[in-house]
Amino acid sequence: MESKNYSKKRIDREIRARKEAERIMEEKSLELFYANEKLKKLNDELNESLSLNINALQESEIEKFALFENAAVGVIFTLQGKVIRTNHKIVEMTGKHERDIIGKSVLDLVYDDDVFNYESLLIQLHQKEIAQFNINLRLQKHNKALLWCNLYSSSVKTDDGVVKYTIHILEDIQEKKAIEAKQETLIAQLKEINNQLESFAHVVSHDLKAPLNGINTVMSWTRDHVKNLSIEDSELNQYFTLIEDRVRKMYKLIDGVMEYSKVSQGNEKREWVDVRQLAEETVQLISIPNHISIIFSGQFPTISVNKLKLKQVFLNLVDNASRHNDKKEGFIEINARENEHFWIFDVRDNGVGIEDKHINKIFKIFNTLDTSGKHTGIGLALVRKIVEHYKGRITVDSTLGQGTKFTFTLDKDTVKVAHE
Amino acid sequence: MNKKDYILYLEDDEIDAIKFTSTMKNLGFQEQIIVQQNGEEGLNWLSANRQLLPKIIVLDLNMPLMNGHEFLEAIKEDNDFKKIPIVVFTTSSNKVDINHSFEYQVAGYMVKPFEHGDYKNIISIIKQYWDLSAIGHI
Repeated sequence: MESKNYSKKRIDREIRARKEAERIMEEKSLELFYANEKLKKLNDELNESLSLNINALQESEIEKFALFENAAVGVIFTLQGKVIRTNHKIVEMTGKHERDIIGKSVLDLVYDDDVFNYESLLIQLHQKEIAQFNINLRLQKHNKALLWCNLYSSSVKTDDGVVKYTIHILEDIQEKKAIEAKQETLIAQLKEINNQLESFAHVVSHDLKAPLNGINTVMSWTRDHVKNLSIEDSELNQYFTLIEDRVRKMYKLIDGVMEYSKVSQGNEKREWVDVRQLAEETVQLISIPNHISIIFSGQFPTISVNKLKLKQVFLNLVDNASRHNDKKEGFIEINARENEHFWIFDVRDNGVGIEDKHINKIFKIFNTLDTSGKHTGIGLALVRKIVEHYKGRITVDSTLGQGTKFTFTLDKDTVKVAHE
Repeated sequence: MNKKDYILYLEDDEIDAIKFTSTMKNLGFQEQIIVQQNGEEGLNWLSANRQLLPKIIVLDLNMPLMNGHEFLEAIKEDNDFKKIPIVVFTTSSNKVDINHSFEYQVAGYMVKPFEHGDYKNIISIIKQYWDLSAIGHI
């Protein structure tokens, strides 16, 4: 019986153990069930919070993301505003770990002061008002340092126009910004210097001219006085003339330098000018010798320029041509034509011509081929500066003894607008 | 024409002062021309002669102590002085100078010319201005 008892006890024990095991298993499987449910819920929450509707993205696109891993620019992919993928460059640019970026908004990378501008664009993008945008902004790096970036954001859509994801490309423009800032400072400095130079030029020109005026006046008094004394001295009169000529030249020089310095001033007054009419008017101002005839040829345009400046150009070219003509029947021909980009004007004469060795000198300021001492050498320098001001060029073609042809161009785009 | 009428000329350059006076005389101007050498002297003159102010002021711009612009600003503060017509007569053809002068209601702005003939022409315009505007003051 001993054995019977023993076996019954064993069976009972086994039954108890099985029951216990069943209970534990039930308990565990319930726990597992709850844990599973919890996990499911967590997963759902996670999916929801990331809006990770990854199924909507095709395998091929996810593969595409990998292509950007080693790109030279920073690349971020977002899905409904949350970062789902970045590349190595982004880590480098922000100094942050990828895990600290994923799941957050791109806004979290942007410097506070620039958030507003960026966010308003981003909202427009999300509301599909715009398909892409471009903005310069600063990233706040991990170490609080700022980095200037050019950020380009664009939505990638399915064929039905549903936004799949958004790609953000970030280009480091820190150096460009630094250069820009430097340039701005330089330009501001230049402006200041220009202003100072301008007022300096005015004061100097006034202060230089006033005493010359005085000398000129006293010279004429002296002349009158000598005349009244009835002294007939041709040598003395010649000296007076020499002094007066030089004083006059000095006066013209100061005016010429002032004119020259004024050409590049930005605030010029422009108007529509019939070039033919202007050239004709200008010729009237010059005392052309009787043996020289003026010929107009070609099609003259009406352009938007500063009238005085263009007048200076014709005045100097025609005046030069009229003073250097040794032919019995001289002529000065003013021709106008055009090509695709430029208006082209010739001032051609059959005068004495210019020696080759002097050709390079004539457009340089204070260089004159005139030996009488009456000319300042500013005229052609001024002409060139004015032509270049209207983005044109001036060239000269001359044969000694046969004549000279000055050709200048004016840029059509520059002289077709009413104001600069 | 009242014998006591006169022109006040503010000019620091002695040669210009003599030139102006003699050219006016040659054109038949018989009244007095009082020359003061800068704006400050001009203001002092006006203050001392409140009972007999000039009919016209001819004003140089570039002068020591008080220049023409400062003078224009100063006399607009005085109810008697600001009624006197002013003709600016200067070497400067600078836009800034011209604009500022007309902002202060000058009656005219003339640039001193270099050539003698041109000078005489301009002075004769000032003379004409005198002849015509003085009528209103009789």
